[in-house]
Order: sequence, then C-alpha cells, then structure tokens
Amino acid sequence: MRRSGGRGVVDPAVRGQRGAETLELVAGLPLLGIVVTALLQGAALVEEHARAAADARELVRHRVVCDHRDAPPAVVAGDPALRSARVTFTRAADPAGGALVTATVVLAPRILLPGLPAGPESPLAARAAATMREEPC
Amino acid sequence: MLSRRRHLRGRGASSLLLLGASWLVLAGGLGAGEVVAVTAADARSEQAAAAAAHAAAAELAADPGAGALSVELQAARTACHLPEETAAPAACAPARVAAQRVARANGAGVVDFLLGPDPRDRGPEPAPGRIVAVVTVEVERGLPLLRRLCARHRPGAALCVARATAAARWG
Repeated sequence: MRRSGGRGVVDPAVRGQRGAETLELVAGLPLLGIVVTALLQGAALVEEHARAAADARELVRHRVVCDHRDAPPAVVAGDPALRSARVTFTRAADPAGGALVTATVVLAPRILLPGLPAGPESPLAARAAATMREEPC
Repeated sequence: MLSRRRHLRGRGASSLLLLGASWLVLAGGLGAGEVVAVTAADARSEQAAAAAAHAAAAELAADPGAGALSVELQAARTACHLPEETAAPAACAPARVAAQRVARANGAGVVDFLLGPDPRDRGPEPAPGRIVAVVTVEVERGLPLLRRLCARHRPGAALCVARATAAARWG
C-alpha cells in the first residue's frame, strides 16, 4: 500500500484501484455461484440419466423373465423416483421367432438452476430404453 | 503517472485471469462431456452384451435341437464360432441371429459369439441340455470432440468404441 508522507493518508489513485477490485469481486461472486450451480445441475442430469438407464435395464429384465413379469415397476427397480416417472413397455414380435420387449423410462429432471423446464416433458428429462428377448415360459 | 501505470497493469492482470478462468471452465466442461460419453457408452455396451447373451439363451430354450447341440459342445466338436466355423451345427445360427437382433435393438453390434458347455458338465456328472452363450458387443462411444477423428483414423480404437462381454446360461 502506498501512503503519502507517512501520515496514514491513502493515495486516491490506490484507493480507487482497491475500490474497483472490490467491485469486480462482488460482481464476480454471483457469476461464480451460477457457474458452480450449472456444474451441479450437469452432474444431477448425468446422474438422472444413469439412473434411468439402470431402471430401464432392471424393468425389461423382470418383464422378460417368466417368474417376474407381473411385478409392479417401483418395487422391481427399487427406485422411488420411478413412481413419478413415465414407464412404457412395447412388445414386438420377432420375425425369426420370439418377441422383443423394450422398456422406456423417462425420469423428470431435478432442477437446480431456476428457470429450467421441469417435469417428464422437459427436454432435460432423462430418457433410457433397454430391449431384451422374451423368454419362452 | 506511476500510479496510473500500476492501475492499468492491475486491470490487465485481472482480465488475463478472467480469460484464463473462462478457458478453464470451457475445457473442464468439454472434458466432463467426454467422460460422460465414455461412461454412458460403457454402460450401454454392458446392457447390450447381457441382453444379447440372454437372447441367445432364450433362442436355445425354444430350439428343439439344443439338446443335441449341448452334447456336441461338451464333446468339443464345435464352439458355434460363427462365421469362422464352417461346419457348425444348425442350432448355432439362430442363436447368433437372435443375439445380433437384440444387440442391434440396444444400439450395439455383435463382434464375437461363442457357445460352450456349462461348467457343471465338466464335473463328474455331465448331462445334456445345458449351454452357456458368450457374446461380445461393441458400441460406438460418440465422443463429442473425437467423433470425426474416430470415424476417419481409428474406428476400432478402445477410446472410440466400448466393448463388453456377457454370458448367459440355458438349462
């Protein structure tokens, strides 16, 4: 710090610079907060997607195995988020024999950044599908 | 004059710091995107391999010729290694086709298919009607940054494709 004449009076130029730096810091803090929240939002979306993929895999596995076909979805996957998710099963006959079952899971995204669209219809919703062949019972 | 120069130097340093931080955030974001693509492709390939192996086992369960095939496999007369094996039993091809269909439905491709005897049949009491299907699949990772590089130069590289192997047992 530069003082004039050693009497404890700060040079106006230095004071102005310090003020500008403080202002920059104060203005930068919200920006930093937004960046950190955006990173957390990205991580949450990735986690949702991984969860949707795991749920779809478990659901289709239980649907094609003879003994578990009628189990309710939330119990099957053990994931409470599935209660509010959109789960669809499609069954297509294979021309070579048998049938292919596809489970599609759409999980509503966890929104951390205000203003982003929520709900299963959101473009940020985690979508995953898994296909397996139905076992002959 | 000296103070003004110092002030300008300070502003330049903070701008440089801000620019560097911005680049760091950008590079970090892109890197995170690549990591997500890599792990997602790994998970997809594992799912596809498991589903393809299960499909082969389900096909064998519906095939009346599977009992005879299990005897052939135990005697090591075949491994249903198609298309390399030219004189493979007739029950091999439908199982492979079933695995390929399911792998394709999961966005993967079968790169290796094998049938073998159940480990229990290597014990003192072998019995017909038990087969293990082993399927290896490949999924393109679809990396955001390296997509073009993978398509042109290294289509089969480990970074460009995710490979997974799974087995399923029938009988």
